[in-house]
Amino acid sequence: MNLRHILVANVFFAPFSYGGATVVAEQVATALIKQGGYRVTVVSLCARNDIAPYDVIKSQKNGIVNYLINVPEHRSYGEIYNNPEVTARLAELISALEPDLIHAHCIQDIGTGIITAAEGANVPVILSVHDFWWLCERQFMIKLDEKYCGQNPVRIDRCKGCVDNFWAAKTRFNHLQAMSEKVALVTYPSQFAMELSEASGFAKGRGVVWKNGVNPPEPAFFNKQAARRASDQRITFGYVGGPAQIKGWPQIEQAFAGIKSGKFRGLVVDGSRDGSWWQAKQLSKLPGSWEIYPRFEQHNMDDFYAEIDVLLFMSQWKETFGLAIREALARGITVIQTDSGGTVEHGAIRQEDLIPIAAPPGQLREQMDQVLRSGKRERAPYPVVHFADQAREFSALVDQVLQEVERAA
Amino acid sequence: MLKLPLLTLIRRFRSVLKREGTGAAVLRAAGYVRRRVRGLGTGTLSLATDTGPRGSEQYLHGIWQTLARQDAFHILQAPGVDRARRQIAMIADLNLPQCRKYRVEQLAGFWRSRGVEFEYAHYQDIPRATRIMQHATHLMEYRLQSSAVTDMFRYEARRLRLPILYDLDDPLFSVSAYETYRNMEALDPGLKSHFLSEAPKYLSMMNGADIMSVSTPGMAQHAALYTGRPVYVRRNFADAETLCAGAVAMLNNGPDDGMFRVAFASGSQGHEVDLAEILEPLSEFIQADRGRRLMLIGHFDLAHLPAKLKPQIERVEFAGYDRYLAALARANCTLMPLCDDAFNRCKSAVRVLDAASVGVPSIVADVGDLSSVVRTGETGFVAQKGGDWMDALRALAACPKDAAQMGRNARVNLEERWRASDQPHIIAPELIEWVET
Repeated sequence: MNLRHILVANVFFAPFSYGGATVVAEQVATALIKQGGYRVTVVSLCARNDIAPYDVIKSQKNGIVNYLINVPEHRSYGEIYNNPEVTARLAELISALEPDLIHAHCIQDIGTGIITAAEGANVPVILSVHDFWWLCERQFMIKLDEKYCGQNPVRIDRCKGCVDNFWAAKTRFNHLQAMSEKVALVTYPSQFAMELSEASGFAKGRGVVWKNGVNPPEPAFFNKQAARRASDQRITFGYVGGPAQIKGWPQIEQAFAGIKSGKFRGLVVDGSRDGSWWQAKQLSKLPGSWEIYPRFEQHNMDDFYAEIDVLLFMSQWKETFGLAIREALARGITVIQTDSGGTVEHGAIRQEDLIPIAAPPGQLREQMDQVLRSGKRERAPYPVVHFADQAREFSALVDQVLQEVERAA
Repeated sequence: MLKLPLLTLIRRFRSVLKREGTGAAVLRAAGYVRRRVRGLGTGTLSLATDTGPRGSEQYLHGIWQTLARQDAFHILQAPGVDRARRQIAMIADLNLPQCRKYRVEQLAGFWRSRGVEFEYAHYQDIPRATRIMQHATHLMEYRLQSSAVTDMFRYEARRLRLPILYDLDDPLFSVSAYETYRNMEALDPGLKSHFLSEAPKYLSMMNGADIMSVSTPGMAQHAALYTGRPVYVRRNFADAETLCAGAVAMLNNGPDDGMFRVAFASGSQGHEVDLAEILEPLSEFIQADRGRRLMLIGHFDLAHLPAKLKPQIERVEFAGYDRYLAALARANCTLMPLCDDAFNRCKSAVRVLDAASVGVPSIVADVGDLSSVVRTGETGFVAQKGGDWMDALRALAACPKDAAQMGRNARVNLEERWRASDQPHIIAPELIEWVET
């Protein structure tokens, strides 16, 4: 059988995994291969000073070959989004691998060279947008003062005072917009992300919503969850992220400070690569019993979710998806969350229960109090998209693009 | 001048100070200012903490260790299995111009003409050598000797599951060839000792490869005495550069000055011994007519020549391929005597190809691969015994027009039979099969 060969470009990828978009790239690639009819090769980045800048190293993990381009730690502003050295390496790889299609998945730091190189080799590109790297040099539309920017649509002229250098930012903005016109299709993980991007002039009319999936719970998960609930009667709150303003930790801290009961447990996950986000002293003043939970991967995330009853997702910016929310919902875990962009598009929470961004801590405290008062921990798992579904949808998008290419030929 | 939003930054500093403490706030502020001053961008990648510069022979050790820890070290399938397109990475000793031309650049042209991508790197350019292996389907090595660096390349090639071909055009691995190599007599004895001590390093490379290619049938025979690896012949040929440069040299050749020039070219040291094989008849021939000249191109120690011959000698220093061919084009014939020893039986016919490219007939010893390119009496002469040299020289001198015609025949023979092709006398079919299937 003639396999379709997809070259996935993603800033991180196994063996160097990091972040939600990487989880999606890895899991979709695995699901595509499992589904059959596809061969997937990956190009991603690393930063090491024991091999030369822009050297390439081939690796293979979990059956997927990943070409790592070694970039210098410090690169100029322009090299972050369009790096000729990276482009040259990508062109060499595309020439050698001859993929049928390139999936430019999460390409911050790789830059637009992937599109340039693909164009040079006549290989169609599906571009997937994550976060707002394509609109905002700060990637998350979070200003210097750590407040959500809130522009909708984004107008680069309004970025003066926030960006490092306005004319450099404008050049970047225009370049990225122009490059978006060269791809066959743009996918967004949410309607919110697509509307904001297209309203801002990015790849107008070329976008589709391609929702991210999650890994469903393992068969043993619910037994594990029940066993923990039986052995420990306390409600357990979980928080995935660092103690940053933008992730809403200060609101959580303030909300907990007003809670009288101490009969609950809290877990904060240190998602950093070096375990530096959390220190025990940060948590010692909070009521309840708090622990730092180490960073987990897809294969052991059930262990974490079996430990919690409520996921606190207090992001203070409008995110494009929110993987942890879907993972929790699929496992029958209550979610308390902000009204934060694409993170709410699962439909599991009523609009009036979504906490507005920048709201004072009262509303969060009220919802947590309610959970503590009711003592209710069981909740039916909520149906969400799985990675297998997401891969099938991607397969349909690939069909569509390749058919268009054939028609145009 | 750098413009900073000071009020915002102060607020941010205070916020971090409150949340994460003085150290973190100062570090982050310093990082921000440094980035702004240097015009750096903000990327998502941070430097891997387990890395540090190492010696060149350990260039890959750090990344190997990391990949091994991450269970990402092994490439499970040879890249040629699922790829239609072939890509050769060649790591070579590119220091010798002639070797680079005939065994590397020529091969690059050959494979590219067949749609096979071919990249090469000097073995001391470790980052490039490493890089070109990563997306190759095959590794070829030329003239490398075993060392910590080449062992590292081999290790990487095996990690990447690349089949390995080792190529050689001199019996550098052979103690028996060096010990009986007559040209060594003209050189410092210390040099021979050095070559002998290096020989095992070449043999080690041969035996670590999957397959071997050599430049002549004689070399293949000799290599088979040392290695059990399959050995195939890829002869040197006249590439497009040679044919073009030869044509230009012929075109630019000045008017005939009536001299009869006999050329002897030497690309390396020690060939005085070869010329000594025929020095007596050659001297007699040159001195028999004041209009005859012995043209010595390249390395040659004149102390090895009789004093009486010196007034009729023309020296040409070797200064690049084009100038070499330009000088050769002025000759009426060229001589290639070789001592009959194990080393020379491995020799290729590149000097015959060079002479033919400028339309000059060759008189060659029946040693090595020289005679395979010469059609006796048509494109030159193969001297079987001592007297044949004088007979051939006299025949050519007797009728320079016939000699010139013989040179033209040599050029035609070169264009028809000795240019790049996949004919079995140029490249063994097994080598093509090794790459393309």
